Amino acid sequence: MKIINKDYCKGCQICVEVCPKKVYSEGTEISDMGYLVPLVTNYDKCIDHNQIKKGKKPICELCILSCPDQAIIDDSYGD
Amino acid sequence: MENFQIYREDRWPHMFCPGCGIGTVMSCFQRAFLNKGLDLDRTAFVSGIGCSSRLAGYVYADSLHTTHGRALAFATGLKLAQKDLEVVVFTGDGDLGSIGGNHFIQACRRNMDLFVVCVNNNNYGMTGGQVSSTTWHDYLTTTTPKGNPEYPFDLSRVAATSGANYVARYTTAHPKQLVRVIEEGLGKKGLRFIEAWAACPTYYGRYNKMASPVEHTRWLKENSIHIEQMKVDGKTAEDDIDLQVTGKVTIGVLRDADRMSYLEAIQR
Repeated sequence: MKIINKDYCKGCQICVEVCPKKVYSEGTEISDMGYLVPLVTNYDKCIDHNQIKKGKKPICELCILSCPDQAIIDDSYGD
Repeated sequence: MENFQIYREDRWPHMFCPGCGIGTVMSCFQRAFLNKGLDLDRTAFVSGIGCSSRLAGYVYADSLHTTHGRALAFATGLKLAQKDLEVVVFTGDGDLGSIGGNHFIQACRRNMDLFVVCVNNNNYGMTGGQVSSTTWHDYLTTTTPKGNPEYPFDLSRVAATSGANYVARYTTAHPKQLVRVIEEGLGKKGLRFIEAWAACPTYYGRYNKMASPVEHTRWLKENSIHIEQMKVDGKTAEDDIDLQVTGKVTIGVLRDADRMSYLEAIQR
């Protein structure tokens, strides 16, 4: 699952823009920092999620790389 | 993959504005650094003054925060004293292209063994969005309310013609490509110059009708053209020197040479 850290996110909505599969959507709740944190609503369509399910390496990672605040992590990678 | 492998999580959230492109450059640099498998203990980070130069303070490694514009001069000294150290310089367009312009040209001419990442956001973001040497013609800033009468400085072309070994330019709207060129550059010798065009929604964006980070990222994507695409379109070399002729900025690997570096030259 893609997790957005509410303490780090500054609500720039870049993840909503860059995701080719529209995994993220604009949030509705204001975080403690005072920003509108996006929601992960469409995780089934995530390219990397499907790659990992097939036992392959993640190839997209556009949201993780684009996030200016290092707020997005994917806990399904294992590591 | 853990997000904080080379950065100091105790200093998070960082001080950059929402949507600032410097954060994206940080993510891309971390990914490339880890892919390359370099040792943090054998890497030193040097920076000057400016928003992008705060980046060296967030890294879990030895860093040197130097005077305005002189980052490359300090880095040259550091590299000559500690020859086996990988020296990475984080700098901005005001630091490198304006006040430190001569240090930049001379370091490229000597082909010093430095890795330079220039985060170019086309204005002086830290001091309040004044016009810089890379602001586009006719674009608005705090000090040019009727449009910038000057023409921009093409930092990558300056580096390439001054003799840097590896020169590449991408924007923060191209994170995958940015990771690739940083990784490629870290494995080479001589001066490697990566210019990353970054969004500055707070000043450059707000004055130029792209106040939201999403709009600014879209602008970066629409106003950049790959160097291979220019060849397909039949554009000449002069077209990509002037940033304003095509109305777009040329991205891609602009120079990949194998000149003798400064350390090799003195150790012969």
